[in-house]
Amino acid sequence: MVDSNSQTDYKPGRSKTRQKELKEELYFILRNKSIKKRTVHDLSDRLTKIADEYELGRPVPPQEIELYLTQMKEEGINIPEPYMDKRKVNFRLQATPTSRNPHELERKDFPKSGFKFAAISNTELGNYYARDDALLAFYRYCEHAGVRTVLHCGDILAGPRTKHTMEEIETDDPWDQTDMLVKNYPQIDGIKTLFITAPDCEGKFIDKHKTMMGPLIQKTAKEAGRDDLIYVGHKSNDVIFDVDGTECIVTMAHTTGKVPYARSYPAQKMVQSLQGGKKPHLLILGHLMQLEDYLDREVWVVQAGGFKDQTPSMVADRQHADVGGYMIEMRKPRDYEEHFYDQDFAMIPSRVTFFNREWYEKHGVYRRSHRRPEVTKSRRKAK
Amino acid sequence: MSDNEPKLEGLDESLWNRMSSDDRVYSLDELCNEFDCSPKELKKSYKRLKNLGATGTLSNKRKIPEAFKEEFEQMQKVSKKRTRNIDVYSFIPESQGGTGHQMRFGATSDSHMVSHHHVGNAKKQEGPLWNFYRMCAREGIDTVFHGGNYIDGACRFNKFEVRATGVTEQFDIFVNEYPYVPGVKTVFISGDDHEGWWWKRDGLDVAEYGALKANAAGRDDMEFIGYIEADIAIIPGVGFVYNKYLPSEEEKKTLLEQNLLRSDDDLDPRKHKDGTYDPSIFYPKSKGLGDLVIPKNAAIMRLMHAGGGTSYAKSLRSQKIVEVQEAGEKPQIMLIGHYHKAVSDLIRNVHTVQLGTTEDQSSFMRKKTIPADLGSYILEINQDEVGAINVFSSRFIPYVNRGYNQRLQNWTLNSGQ
Repeated sequence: MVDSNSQTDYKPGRSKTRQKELKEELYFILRNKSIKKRTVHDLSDRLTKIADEYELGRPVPPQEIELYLTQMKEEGINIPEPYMDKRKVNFRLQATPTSRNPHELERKDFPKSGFKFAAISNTELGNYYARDDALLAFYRYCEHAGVRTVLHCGDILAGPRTKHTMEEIETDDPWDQTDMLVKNYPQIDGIKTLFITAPDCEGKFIDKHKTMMGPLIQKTAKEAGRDDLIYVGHKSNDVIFDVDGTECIVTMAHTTGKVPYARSYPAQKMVQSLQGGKKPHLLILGHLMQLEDYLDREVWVVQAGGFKDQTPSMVADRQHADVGGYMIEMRKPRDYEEHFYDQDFAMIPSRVTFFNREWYEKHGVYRRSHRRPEVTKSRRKAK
Repeated sequence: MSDNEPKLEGLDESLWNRMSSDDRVYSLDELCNEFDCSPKELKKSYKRLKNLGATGTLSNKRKIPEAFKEEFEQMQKVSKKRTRNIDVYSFIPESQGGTGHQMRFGATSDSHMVSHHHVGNAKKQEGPLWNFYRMCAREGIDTVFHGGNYIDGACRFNKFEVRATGVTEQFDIFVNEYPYVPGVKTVFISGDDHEGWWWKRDGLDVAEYGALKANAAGRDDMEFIGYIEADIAIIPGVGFVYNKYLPSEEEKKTLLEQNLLRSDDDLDPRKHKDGTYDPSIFYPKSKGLGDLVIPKNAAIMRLMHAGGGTSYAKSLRSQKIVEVQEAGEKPQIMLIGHYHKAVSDLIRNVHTVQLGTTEDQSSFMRKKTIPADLGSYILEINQDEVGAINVFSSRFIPYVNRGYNQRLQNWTLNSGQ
């Protein structure tokens, strides 16, 4: 009988022949599309046969299979609800994450006068061209401005290597990229990052490894002592917060497809596609690496830019890269703003832009520490 | 093996002898090296032996050659990287403890004051433009930039949609009815349509005429700086510097004292640099910054009234305008009027803002299916010591019309009574 507490260091997706655990064998059976019969009894029979081959000297009862399935689900492997096939319950792995409810932030976090937050996208940590210096500076700027929530609209990881991005991505392993993210993503006291996963980049890991990257990132961060990375959903989800007693709905979305010539076109089409009665107050869009803001059909729209320099593959694809993010204040119109009728909220976006690394080197903007030189001098004097 | 079973030869025999030892799991690499064969051959042999009853399993555990072990270990390690620190204090204004220079100003465009479709009532001092100016005064903003088309001009297709058709009448209405709020001045650029039609047809310098009319009416809050486009320098610690029509003596003195002007005579663009005077130059003058001494850390803001048709995609016209600028000519900020659209972009490191409008959809726009973004902007920039704009805040103040004037579809026999 297998003890449920004795969880070994199980990492699905690693080389099949490195670990001989039955749970891994079960994982590969569930991934194998050619195997039709996947009820608990069928899986039990299969694993018993494999255990015989490994000469483990014991059968694998259905109870153990159920235990493995539960453990895999808790670890983030996407085993959805079982499906019925001829009155028998089968299990399978699925690449598509299930949808989530809108994420509501706690009301105690909001001052009465308005709500300030930041919006970013496309940090792509794991890519050699990711601008970690700009991202860190942005977070420090947010700290100074009193921002406590950062909304990240997808492409938080670089994703797997493709034939076009072979030399641009450091590691092809989702767990290594997750570790890299947890170690190198800016962590500032008091600031939480709510992120969605995108259908490209980390979405390709989801397709390939059938692993929910969002919960995996959140879990890995928590194990490393970070509770500031919070997974909100896949592709798009709403974040609801309170502005002076009124609910404000912010949709974080990660679009797909190539970047068209007209920058505002994808966002305009997205706003127009939203169903009446379901429109948010603010739509934040990621993926296109453009910085833009406007009001369209009574929906505030912000394209959140990116934190990655233009890579060689982007040059070949004729894609630009705007490095920067937005700091946004949503507040109720003040007494003298009498022309705001029909608009629940005023949006005050501040676009924070960064240049390429060479510009900062040329103008001597890089510092040894992030404190002001006068502060360090005075501290030295005090000592 | 019994005598009845087929005899094994070569690799099969060697493998059979090997696998009959106590080891249960055999390394494929080691066996291949030992028997000097390829993994494929060994696997085939193993399969044959398995059918004959051989025990043991083959493990094809990946083996890293010695020469690559260090690199592989490096690949396995995920370490915390050392990140370079950008000076964050250049993003923060001096008033908040940083080293940046913050400036706030308003921007609007396309008022079309004389048109029936202008949204607002000068007698009651209400409407989007009046509300915007009052808001600027409350927020401490002292400069508003206007992107052109402040009046409606006269043409064959708008002569029954304006309150007055003559140039003098229209300018009189304009200087008397344009919002006046103490402490707020407006800097105008003239477009080449509407007010610019008089230049094209009759050769009237509308910018100079507007300046003269405003001066005569005592509107010292109205400044005219050019035709189609004009540059404004934003100097850290100094503010906005630009050439304007009819500067006062005090303003000339201020520019000279700040060493921003080479000489008093340089304000007249009809004077050439070699000292000659050419009165025949009669193109509406965009003052530009040519004769002003602009330091290297100044940012350039271009106030522009564009032309041509609009587009479905809001940002397209801004993109085209920026892309046709010559190398070295691009400003840091472009404020664009004409399209009656409101959108703020970053295009090729130029912060572009299309300034919206305070005119409702005219019949021309309605039938051409051109939407109108009613509203104005409050802009806030942070400039670092080098002159780069690193924070750009563009707050659009929308105005929802809801039939302020009238709607064609709501016309009844009693309309107008």
